[in-house]
Amino acid sequence: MKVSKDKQDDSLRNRITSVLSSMQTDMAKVENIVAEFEKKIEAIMNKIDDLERRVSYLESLLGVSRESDEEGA
Amino acid sequence: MTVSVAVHSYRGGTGKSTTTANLAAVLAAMGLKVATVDLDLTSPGLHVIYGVTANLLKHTLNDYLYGKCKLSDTILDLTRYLGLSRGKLYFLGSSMKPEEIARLLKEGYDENLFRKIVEELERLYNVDLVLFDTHPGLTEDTLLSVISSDLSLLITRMDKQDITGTYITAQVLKRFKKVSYAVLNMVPPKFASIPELASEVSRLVGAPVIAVIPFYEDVLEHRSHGVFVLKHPRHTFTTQIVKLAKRIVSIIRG
Repeated sequence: MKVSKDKQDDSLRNRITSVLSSMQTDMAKVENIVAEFEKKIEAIMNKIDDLERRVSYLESLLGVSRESDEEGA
Repeated sequence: MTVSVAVHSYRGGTGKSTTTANLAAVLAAMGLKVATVDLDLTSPGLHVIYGVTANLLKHTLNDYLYGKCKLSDTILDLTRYLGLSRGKLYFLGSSMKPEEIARLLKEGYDENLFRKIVEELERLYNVDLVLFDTHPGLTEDTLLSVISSDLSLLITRMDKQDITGTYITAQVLKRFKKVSYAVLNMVPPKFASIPELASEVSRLVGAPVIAVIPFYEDVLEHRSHGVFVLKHPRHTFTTQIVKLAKRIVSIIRG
């Protein structure tokens, strides 16, 4: 199943190697993506914390709690 | 026409094989003819999820590559074995023998293998969809299978390495003008329900996120004991896989 060297000259394998070698990836851009990802996660975490605080507040107003509901169920 | 889909990831352990096996089962249950191919040639594992033993797997892709059998001999019909009453599910497995893996690594293989597999599955069984379970990373061999496919699903977890790697992979695939989609897998449950998560990650990785699948301990515990969706049809993991399957069908028929 091996392909001869001549046939490989214009092969997809060679194109892959050539494209990968010529990519010149901008690592600063990659690092920005990581930083932005971290920021987004932090924002989502804050949003979740805020929602949980609101739920707890409403529960205290209504005199119910998720824990007691779960126990009851 | 048969459509080929590479299920790929930049790093290992993202759940590629689990996603492939479960997705294929759902697609078959929807009435489609599906084939799954274990192209993780250096560390195959799809057969474990299907419960395919050495007795059943008489011929592997390695045998075909070294002229020991025809490609059609490697195709195993698992439809009845898995208890599917609709569609078809075929499986092409790889060898787990270290000596055969070593030979493959040393000698390489014909880059047209993937095209031949798709052609044969179309010719013999008129398969609708071929799912390639690939080896992770950006090595030449694994990129061959990804680039030879019609579209790719990039499985990624919610961590920095995976997000970065998925971005890099998507960039490589764009160079080859290949269509790729991301699947966020094993997402911490409290993140999974955030509406803007998919759009934010799509923008970051440069590929549309078409599914957000939460982490389920049940799936992890079940991993090597059959195809989860078939044993737990009402589980929320199954619901997520059904959604993903419908999305893929709509993309293909789109």
